[in-house]
Amino acid sequence: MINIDFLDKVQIFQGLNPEQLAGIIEFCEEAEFEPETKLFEQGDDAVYLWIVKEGLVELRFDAAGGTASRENTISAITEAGAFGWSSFTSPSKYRLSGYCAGQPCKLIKVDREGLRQLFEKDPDMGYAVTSNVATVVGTRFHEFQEEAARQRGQDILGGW
Amino acid sequence: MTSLDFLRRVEVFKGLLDSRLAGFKDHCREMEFRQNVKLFSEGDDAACLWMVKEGRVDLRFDLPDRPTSTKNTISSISEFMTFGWSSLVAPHKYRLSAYCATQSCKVIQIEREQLANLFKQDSKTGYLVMSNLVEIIGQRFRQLQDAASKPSYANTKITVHLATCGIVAGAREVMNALVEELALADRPEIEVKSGGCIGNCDTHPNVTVEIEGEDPVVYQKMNAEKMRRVFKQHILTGEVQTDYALV
Repeated sequence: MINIDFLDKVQIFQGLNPEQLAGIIEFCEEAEFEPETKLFEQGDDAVYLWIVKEGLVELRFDAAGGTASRENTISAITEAGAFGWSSFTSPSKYRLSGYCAGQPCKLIKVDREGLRQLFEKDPDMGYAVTSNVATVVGTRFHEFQEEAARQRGQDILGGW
Repeated sequence: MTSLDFLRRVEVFKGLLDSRLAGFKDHCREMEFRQNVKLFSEGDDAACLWMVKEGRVDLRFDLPDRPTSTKNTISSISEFMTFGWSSLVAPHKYRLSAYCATQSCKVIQIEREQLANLFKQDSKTGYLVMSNLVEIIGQRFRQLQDAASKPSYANTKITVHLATCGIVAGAREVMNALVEELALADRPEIEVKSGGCIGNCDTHPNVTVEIEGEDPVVYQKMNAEKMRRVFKQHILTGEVQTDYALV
């Protein structure tokens, strides 16, 4: 059962009122997965935005042959965290594979097209959610960029 | 004066009707900078969103007590592209420094507060701009991931031997081809320099490739086409072109 109280805790839905959250529930679907089940594969159409209700999801890059071990984990998403934000960007393909990790996972799948329709009808909601998504994605981008800059800086300082 | 025609082509305003774009026009401030001038520093309050009108802006990390150089460039921003988008994302701090990378740069800035007011008055505009911004961040994320998965070229040197005998044999054409390939590959951190005669005039034009951790390779009797192949195959993919190497 998906309720408004839970969606209210999800970072990307912060700032939405109860009516707006109720609208999102219409496009949500719950799903359960056993540990090490693959939720989606990198390159698949990103038709859902995902939210962790219980458990832990790891986003991993697949090695040759389509397999990914925990060593290939790029980020881990815990309760109330959202992933699959490629659904907001073209070409709407998942960039990493999603795996249920550790224990059984309860997840919420939010239909991308449903969300888009809601945002078109209610731009206040669209503005609030896309601003939150930009903050989440921007933070991850900055973390990655800082690591790239750190490595490049070490190359320069340690250069011949 | 910033034209609607320009704003229509700016990536972050993609899909906005002219009536909505007109709202931004009055808030655009045009500025011009000379090469290597710093537009803002990393850590500064991200008070403005920026757009490139002419030229190129490099986003670089600064190293203490070292002058800036293209080796520090993380990304390059050209015409119609946006930078300083930290202004729209908390905690509103620039994460890299911005430098004018061409002889001159014309840029446009809009203050964060003015954007926030526009979006508050018209949330549809806010929604469209933020959707474009998510798209842009996603694209740059992918580019950065792709670039990070490629080997680092910070410790790669290419020397084109440009002594008189080399020039007569066509070394300048070789250098020109190399510079073009370097620009196309967007690998400004590869060091290119000119050198003297290696003492073997029969084999000119000569080019020496030095990659840290590997034996230097001297290529002989080079021309523009061979240089392009060496760049793509040896420098970018690590495959020494033994056919051209001086034994």
